[in-house]
Amino acid sequence: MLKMSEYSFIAAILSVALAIVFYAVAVVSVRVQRGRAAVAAGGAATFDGGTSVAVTSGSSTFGTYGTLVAWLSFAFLLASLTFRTIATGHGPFANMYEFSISFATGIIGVYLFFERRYHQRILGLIVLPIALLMLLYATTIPATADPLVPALQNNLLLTVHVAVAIVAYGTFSVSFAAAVLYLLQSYGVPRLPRAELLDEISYRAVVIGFPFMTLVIILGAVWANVAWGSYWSWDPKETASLVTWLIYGAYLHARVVRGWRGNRAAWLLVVGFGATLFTYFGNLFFGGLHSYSGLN
Amino acid sequence: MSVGRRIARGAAPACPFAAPFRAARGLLTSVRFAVAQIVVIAIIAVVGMTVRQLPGFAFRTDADYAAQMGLLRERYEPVLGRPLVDLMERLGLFAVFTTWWFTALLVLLAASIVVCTLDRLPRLWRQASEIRVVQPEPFYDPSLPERAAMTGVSAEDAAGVLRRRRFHVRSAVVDGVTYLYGDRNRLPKLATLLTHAGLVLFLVAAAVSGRFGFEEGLLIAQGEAVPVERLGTPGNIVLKNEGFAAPRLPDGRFADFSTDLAVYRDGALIARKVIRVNDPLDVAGYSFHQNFFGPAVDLAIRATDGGVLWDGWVPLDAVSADRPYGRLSVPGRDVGLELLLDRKAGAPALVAIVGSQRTGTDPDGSPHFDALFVGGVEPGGTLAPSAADFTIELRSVGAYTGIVAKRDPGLGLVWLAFGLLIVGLVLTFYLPRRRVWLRVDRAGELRLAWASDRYVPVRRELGGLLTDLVAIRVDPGPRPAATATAAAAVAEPAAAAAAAAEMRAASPGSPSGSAAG
Repeated sequence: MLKMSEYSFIAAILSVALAIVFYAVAVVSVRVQRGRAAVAAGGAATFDGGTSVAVTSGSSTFGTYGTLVAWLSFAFLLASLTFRTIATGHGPFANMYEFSISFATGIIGVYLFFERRYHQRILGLIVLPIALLMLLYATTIPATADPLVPALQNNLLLTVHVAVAIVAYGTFSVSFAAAVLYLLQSYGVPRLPRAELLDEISYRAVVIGFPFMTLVIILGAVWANVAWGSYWSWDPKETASLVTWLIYGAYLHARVVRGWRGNRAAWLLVVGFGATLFTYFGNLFFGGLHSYSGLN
Repeated sequence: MSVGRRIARGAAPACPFAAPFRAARGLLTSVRFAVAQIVVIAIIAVVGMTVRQLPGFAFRTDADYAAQMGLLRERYEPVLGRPLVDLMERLGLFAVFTTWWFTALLVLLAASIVVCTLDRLPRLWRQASEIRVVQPEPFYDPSLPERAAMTGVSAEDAAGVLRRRRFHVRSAVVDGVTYLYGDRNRLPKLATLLTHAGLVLFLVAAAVSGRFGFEEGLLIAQGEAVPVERLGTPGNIVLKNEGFAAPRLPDGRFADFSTDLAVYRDGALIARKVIRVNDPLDVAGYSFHQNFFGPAVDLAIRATDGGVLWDGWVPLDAVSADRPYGRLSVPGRDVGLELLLDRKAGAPALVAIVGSQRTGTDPDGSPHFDALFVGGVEPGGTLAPSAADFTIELRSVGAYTGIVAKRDPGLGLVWLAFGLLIVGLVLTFYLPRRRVWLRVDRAGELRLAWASDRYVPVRRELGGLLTDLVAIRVDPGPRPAATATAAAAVAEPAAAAAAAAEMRAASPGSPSGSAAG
């Protein structure tokens, strides 16, 4: 089973890389076509970001291939995690290797959800490389399937706590990608999706992810109380997740209550994703109660 | 402002607190201030993560604090220098999360949340409670965003569509014009109050836990018993370690650790359970958690005249030179022992023992010790230092268990706060409010106005509603486009329905809800 998991993992890496290539070709060819259309129309053509970037012309073939291969990579990752779960007898969240693959799965899954909803494959050019980096990172760390350390021997909370975190991190990745595109557009990069649409995508991603992030912290507190008798210990990972939560909470307040939009909101999302990564990797540097990554 | 009101205001006695109150309210309801607070707390939290913090047990005694602070000084002084480390210590940067100023920031944040929520409360309540079924005609102006107009749909059929879409429908007829008002998720609009109440309650719960709670880490060696609270506390509970186990995996790591824990009150056994990390024991208002463990040595210290000075376990609960380390003051003697355990695989354990005697006071006021003797002893052996009038027998090397005993009256509030927080967020984000006003005039023309929270995908939802209305439309005239576009609406509901329904209005593509109504 572990071998099957590894094979699926490698297949996922290759397919994510291939999907990125397809997306890149699709997006570039769309931009070229639109550029030509603009020239042909005397510069009057405009791009309606409300429809798909991978337009319905010949270039969409690459986009479609990209989407199919991205779905394939998602399936490979799910297969890898499933095989590993069967082999180890617990959710694939016990060490950094397993969590990195889960994180990448969450990123790709959430991205595909947003692609279906908003048809903006150009987001994939930012989101999928993040997932690929996460998978490549996983190849550099030990993949041994060890028994759970005593602190993690709570299968229900382990599974739910981390699975919820993966969804939250995935949505924050998508919001980051949309925010980056928004900022690129505001700094003059042409022919990107409409700014309003990017703003909406990043916002909706946070709206989905924020309650999940809240649940991550709450479930973590519940678990900490059961395991150690203290629902909050200012452990570095706890604190980092709280900081991440505060940043996204500030973003939602600024945007919903006071109508913050534009670059300020986009930068806040970039900072938020930085905090997300900090939360993810923080325990490698700072130790604490979450020092069971297998790398400390 | 009228002259009369000016006079009235001028005649009223000025409240001396009005201006500061307004300023405080303005500050606490400012989103910039809220974001600034969050940024400051986040920065401090990052400092607390990056600078090694003193563990909780460092604050048990001055000696513990000095020992733990000494370790931090060893870590930071070579890099930062002593003056900077002194400054950091004075600022509380080694215990950021327990400093008064961090607590003050949290209290300020709670105050902001409360004031902001109270500030928004009247408007939220008004929005949720004041319902106007009848709106003036300009309200339905199709040139406004999220408006539509069509013919061929009766008020009854339109109400049916709204109900099928889970709108609560009210109606009114004025001068032969039928007005419909559909409201979906009216009360969840107030859910943001639950979220903010949850946040404040959490901070209150933390304060209750800190003020009235009890938490103590107890080190209990094999077979020993220790009181949970101070001796003399009425109804005090005593814990006894009936057996500790920490089986190892083949690779040497610990597979598990557990303690057979017996709980006594007034000499009577009230509970017994094998507890492990994720399986605590709850009894008599306390919870006992298996938290940590470490090595301990079983010593018998006898005076040369035969009297027993010490007979029991000594936990090695500190680390020195990467080895378990512990201290013991020899009862009846002005001598302290430092114990260092050296344990190698395949070799018997060796305990290095350093005996020291206080001989004076250092210039900084701390006691000065001089070493009396140094020796090593294996299990079963006895050390008889010539410089001391006692012998030390090492009977065995075992383990102590670390139990966290906790009584937290704020815990119920914490769970309630968490519940409010998550329920409020779910209701706010996943059950946003949608409102729709319909006006069907005597000529049969239907006009529609839509308003929803920002979380609603207006394009899809309003498009879907228009598609449903087009589907039930009784078209009196030859409009071949209507049928075709109604089918196409499945793919692009808003655009198709807009075309089919003769939308003379702006498209519903705007992502944000209007403030209509």
